[in-house]
Amino acid sequence: MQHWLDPFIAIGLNLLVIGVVLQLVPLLVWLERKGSAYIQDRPGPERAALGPLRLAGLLHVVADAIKLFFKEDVIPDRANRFYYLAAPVIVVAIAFLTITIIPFFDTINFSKVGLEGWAVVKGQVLNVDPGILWFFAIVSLTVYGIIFAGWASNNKYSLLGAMRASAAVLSYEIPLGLSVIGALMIYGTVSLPDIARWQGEHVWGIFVQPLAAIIFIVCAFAETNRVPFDLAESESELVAGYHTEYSSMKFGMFFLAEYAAMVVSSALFVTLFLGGWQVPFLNTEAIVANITPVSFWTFAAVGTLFLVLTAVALVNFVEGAGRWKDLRDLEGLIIAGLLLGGAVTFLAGAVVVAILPLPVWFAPIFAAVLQFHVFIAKVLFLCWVFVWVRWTLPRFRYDQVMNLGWRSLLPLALVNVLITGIVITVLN
Amino acid sequence: MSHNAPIDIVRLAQSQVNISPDLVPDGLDSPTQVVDRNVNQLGESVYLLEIAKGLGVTMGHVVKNLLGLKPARTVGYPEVKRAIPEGYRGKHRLTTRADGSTKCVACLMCATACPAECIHITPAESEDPDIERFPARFDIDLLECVFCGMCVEACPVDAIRMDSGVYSLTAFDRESFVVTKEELMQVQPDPHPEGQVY
Repeated sequence: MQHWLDPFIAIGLNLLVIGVVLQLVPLLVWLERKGSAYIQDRPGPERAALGPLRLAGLLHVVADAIKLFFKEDVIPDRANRFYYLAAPVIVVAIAFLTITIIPFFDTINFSKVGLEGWAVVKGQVLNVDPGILWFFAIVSLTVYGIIFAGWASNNKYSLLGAMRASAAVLSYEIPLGLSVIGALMIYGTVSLPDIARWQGEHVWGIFVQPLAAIIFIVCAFAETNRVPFDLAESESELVAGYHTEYSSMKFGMFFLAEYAAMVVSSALFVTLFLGGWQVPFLNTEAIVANITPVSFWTFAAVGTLFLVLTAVALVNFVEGAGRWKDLRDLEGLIIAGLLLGGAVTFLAGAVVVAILPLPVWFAPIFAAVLQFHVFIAKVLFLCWVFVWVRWTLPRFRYDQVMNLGWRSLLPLALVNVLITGIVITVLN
Repeated sequence: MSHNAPIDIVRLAQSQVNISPDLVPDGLDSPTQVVDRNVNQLGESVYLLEIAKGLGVTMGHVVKNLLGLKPARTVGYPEVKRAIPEGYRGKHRLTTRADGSTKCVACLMCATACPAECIHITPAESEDPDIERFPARFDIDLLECVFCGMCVEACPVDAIRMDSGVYSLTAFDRESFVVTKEELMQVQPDPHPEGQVY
């Protein structure tokens, strides 16, 4: 059933999803730099400023992006220009394609609260029948981008890096797919929104399929070519792997794609095993049914969090007084003011929802917004796990990676499928 | 026989049958010691437990740094500078007499001692009857200099010193690194904070 708002909703969702990924990428770069700094007892980036605002080093990422745009764009003389230029485009395009099937919130269905004739908003850009299978089909195309980059660069390091990357991605795709099969047997569907809904009605996937979750996340590390499986660009051996010859924004695109792939992997893991957009202990029906207490406590909790952050900012302002001897010294005060404004807004909102009668359309929209934020929070936590593991573990050797993939993870994934099948058959 | 005495490994290996008791380090029964590596074979080959331990270590660092419980191991250079040790060889400077002229007598001892051959002196005759020679030019190529301090050792009149503490030598072109007599006479010692030397 078509609604006249549908095209606009589709465009809005597209912008939202692309916007979320594009916003998360710089955030992750910052998380990586700041996280590694704190792990290694350094302060990390903190200097770049826009007037008084430093934002704890977040502006370094902006400076990096600007630098990348203005760098000289070198194409090697002997490179195969077509494939050389196509490679980063393929990698980035696929990273952004795969995010489209991730559901960010439950379908907003106004007819459930008695509003007939309103548009239905789906929390997913592309709702295809194959669901997660479509995801696997698309994500394996990344290998083409990497091989093109390695081959077209006409550089031995690039080629070696590309070969290693494709070997790792191909080997780990099998246990990755098999680990998901065990979970899909329990969910009984390949559609990602339905998987998230199942977890809201029963229990999060990580509790029924812990082994699959572990295999999945290990394979996700290998798929995204992250430490400890980053042998594709092991800088101590291969300079920078398949993007050795890339400079300027073409390198930036590989960089963007790496972090976008991290976001997508995290989002898929969250959807499959951590309940997707489910708020813990509250599925959509429960939120809509208890909208007044849920919205009150949400607003109150966020308001309190902002108050605590205000205090932290003020403490930082007092402690760091006179450190920079310019506008940057005022940052703590400005941030504290902004946070205090946020705290007041949210606490006022809590009072408003507690006192005033809420309109009927408020509950479904509030549920969707809350679920969206919970989903992003889960994804960010998982991205932090990626960063955390990277700065904890050393790199695996090439043969160790292959051994782990083919001789440990593949049999484990098969055993997991077998046991899941037996359990399902016995319990039914 | 003490622990520190070197043991001739080759001779030990050749004479496995009869090992003289005085070759055995104190407190050991035999010269070869079987070390218990305490390897938890299964636990380590599964990786997951060990990875969890490692993640715990790194998270501990993050939490301590976030809460500001750890003293900073870094300083905010260039606003904050670390103390440098006494005797640190920084950028050269030429000392002066009370009247402001250079103490250097252009004897070329420093240029002779210099292993990098980075000191170029053009001597000239002085108008002052008390002074025989003085350097018309005294150039040091700081890009050639290896900061060994031999010139300071060689100088008979304490005219050249490397105690300025200036270690941040930067410029936009190579020519700027060739410093002249006038510049060397005006090098200001860089005040570094007193305190712990790292």
